Amino acid sequence: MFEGVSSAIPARAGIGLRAPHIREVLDTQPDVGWVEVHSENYFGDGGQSLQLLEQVRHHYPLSLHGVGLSLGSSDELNPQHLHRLRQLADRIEPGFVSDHISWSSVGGRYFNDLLPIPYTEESFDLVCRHVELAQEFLGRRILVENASSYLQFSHSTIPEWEFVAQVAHRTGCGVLLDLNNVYVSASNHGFDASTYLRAIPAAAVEEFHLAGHTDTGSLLIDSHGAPVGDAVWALYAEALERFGALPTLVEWDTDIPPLSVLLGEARKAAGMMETERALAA
Amino acid sequence: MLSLREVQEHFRAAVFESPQELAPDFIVAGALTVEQRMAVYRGSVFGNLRSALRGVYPVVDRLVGAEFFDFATEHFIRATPSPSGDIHQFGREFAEFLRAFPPAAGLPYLPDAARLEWLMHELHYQPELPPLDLASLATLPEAARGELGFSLNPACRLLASPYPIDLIWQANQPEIAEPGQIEIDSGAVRLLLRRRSGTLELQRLDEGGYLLLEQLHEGAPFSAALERVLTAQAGFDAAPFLLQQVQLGTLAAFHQLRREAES
Repeated sequence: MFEGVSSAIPARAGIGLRAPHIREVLDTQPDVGWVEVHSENYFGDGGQSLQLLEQVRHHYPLSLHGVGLSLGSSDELNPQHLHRLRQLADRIEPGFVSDHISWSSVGGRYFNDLLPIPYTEESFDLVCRHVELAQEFLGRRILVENASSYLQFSHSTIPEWEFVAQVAHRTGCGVLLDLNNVYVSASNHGFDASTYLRAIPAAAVEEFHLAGHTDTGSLLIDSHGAPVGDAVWALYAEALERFGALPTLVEWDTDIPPLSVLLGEARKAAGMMETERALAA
Repeated sequence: MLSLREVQEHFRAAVFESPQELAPDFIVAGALTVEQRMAVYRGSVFGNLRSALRGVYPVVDRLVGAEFFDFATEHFIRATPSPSGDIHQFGREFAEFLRAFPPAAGLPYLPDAARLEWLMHELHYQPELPPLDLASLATLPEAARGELGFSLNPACRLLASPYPIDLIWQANQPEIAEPGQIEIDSGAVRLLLRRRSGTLELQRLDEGGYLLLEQLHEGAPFSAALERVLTAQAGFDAAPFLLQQVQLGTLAAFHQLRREAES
């Protein structure tokens, strides 16, 4: 359907495409490798947003990034959600379909937020089962993203990085490594971000996320409302060295700046990927 | 050790119910108290849901002011479970909530303004089907026409209110700095909402037109629908009304209904 534009996500920098920028992106077709959208924003049967997204897809490979599958919920996966996601994927032919290692519903009540799970054997089995069910239903491999968190559970027995690595190992899913989230959680919980990166098997990682956070003084908040921080750029350099130049997405979701600002962040990521390639050659 | 289900039930209670009594003891405190950590999540959950409601209900927000909107939505979010991981599904019951919310009782038109905004929100996600094909309708034998059913375009909605909510809506769009006076007792309105080529249209209908579209939408055969309309509004001229609604894309399809005798 989208002739001439492959669905495959290239190893380039992309941008998280949000509603305020869609028309400008269509009009100006900026030189980014790909774009990513939040799947749930396009779950309707039609309407203008979906039409615009289809137009975007004629120009760019596209990744569908979910926030509502609730892979870590003790509820069963929501069949209607899966159905909508599959319908959208059939329509838009995304290169990646991803969601988070987090939960957002209990007893059918949704928080519409990415909440942390305790890292236990029980939650590990459950997340793996949900990832497998989602992959089976969608007929494709999905990517799972490490979420940021502001608390830890006293009964967690598995380090987060091991949990993420093992989910990928058991289910065959890919990892969407969010470097801002690694940094935020490492800072909030006092673990070492480099240890985290070293624990993730290189073969599992398919995509990086970069975003800005804010500092309340006592916590880092994954706000997606600021430029990518210097420490996160440094962690990104480390990730490029370990995992190679992989598709990298810059996200900005609150206080959304002009498109040019977002493109500037993507160019910076692209420059670092080039540097990594030159060093690796 | 708590099961995951128990952890998540406690978490739900700590976010949506009385926070002071429910600081869960299975969370590591560290540099912050457990309550401070839960407050981050409570702020984030309520913030997301409230911002979704602001997106759907900008006119209500403007009518009551940001402070009252925050106050009302705080209560609404607590009382109304979000049903889906798609946040755009949240807020359908806001009009009914406002109707029963004593602090909003001074603005009797507010619930209907909210209903209008929810229907507009729904339209945003509906496909626009091409208008009904008049040429193929014309090829039907005359005798068959009374047994026809008509379906409304998915990008159309009907809404009736005792208040002029269309005028209230129009006067409270962002580009209107100072809304003029609206006579809220100026009479009931029957509205057809329609998205056409991406643009939202609001059309006032008379009683007959509204009733006819409503009946057809509910699946009544054309002949029966028209009969009811004529009872309510004698002399209603259906032909020009229907032609107009076909041209505007309100009617998307027709289908032959089985005769009573055959069913």
